[in-house]
Amino acid sequence: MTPWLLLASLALAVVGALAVIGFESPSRSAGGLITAVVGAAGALASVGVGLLPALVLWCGGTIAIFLLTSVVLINIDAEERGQRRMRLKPALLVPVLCLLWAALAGPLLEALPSVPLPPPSAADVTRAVVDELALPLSLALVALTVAFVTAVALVRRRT
Amino acid sequence: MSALSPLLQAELAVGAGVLLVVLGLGAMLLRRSILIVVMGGVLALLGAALTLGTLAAARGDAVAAAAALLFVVLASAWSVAGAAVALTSYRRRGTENLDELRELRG
Repeated sequence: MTPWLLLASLALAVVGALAVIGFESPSRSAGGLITAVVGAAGALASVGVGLLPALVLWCGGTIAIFLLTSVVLINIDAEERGQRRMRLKPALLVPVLCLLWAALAGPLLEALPSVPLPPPSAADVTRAVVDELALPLSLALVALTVAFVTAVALVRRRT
Repeated sequence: MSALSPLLQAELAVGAGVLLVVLGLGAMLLRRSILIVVMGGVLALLGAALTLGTLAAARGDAVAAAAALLFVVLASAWSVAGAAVALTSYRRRGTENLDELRELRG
């Protein structure tokens, strides 16, 4: 692992996530999502797992730019300003989110081995996709195709 | 920076991944705009992929890394469907605010 790259990437990802939730303007939130995607891809690259960082950067970047384009098409900046953009009081949500973080992070941190093993290479991950997860990944790709076709049908339909 | 052991680095990465999941869920609960809700969902799935990828790297588990790919594909499908719903509701009702859509429905 590369400690500096990991720390910088994690900081970038968390700052991007805070920007998504905190900014008034949806276009800035989309910018925050792009930042979070770059940070997550950098963190995955620095932990050394194969194949995943490139796909996160590729797919995540495409998603974020697609959402940014949608924000620009709708032009929702004006109606999202001010307190109306919030459904709940943020002060109510913060303790709930802290508890949720603690409940989720605890078991996952315990699942880490005391001595980390060598990370899987891109060839190992590709082999695992083909041998172990071919059906779930095929179903997910079918879901993606259905989402694309439905999206095109919805957007093209005349009101 | 030598004080950061590989285990501590993995713990930091898992903690940050879970934080992304929690912040994504927070965005889905907190904001009214459909597009921000979709962005929150993408953020949560991205955090899940980061957490799973880090665990896969620490345990040398290629299947877990492959499962993280599944989350990335699901995030793509979710964002495409969500953006289409937001665009359609804006064209038909003139708003993509969740609360206003609920009021319009009656």
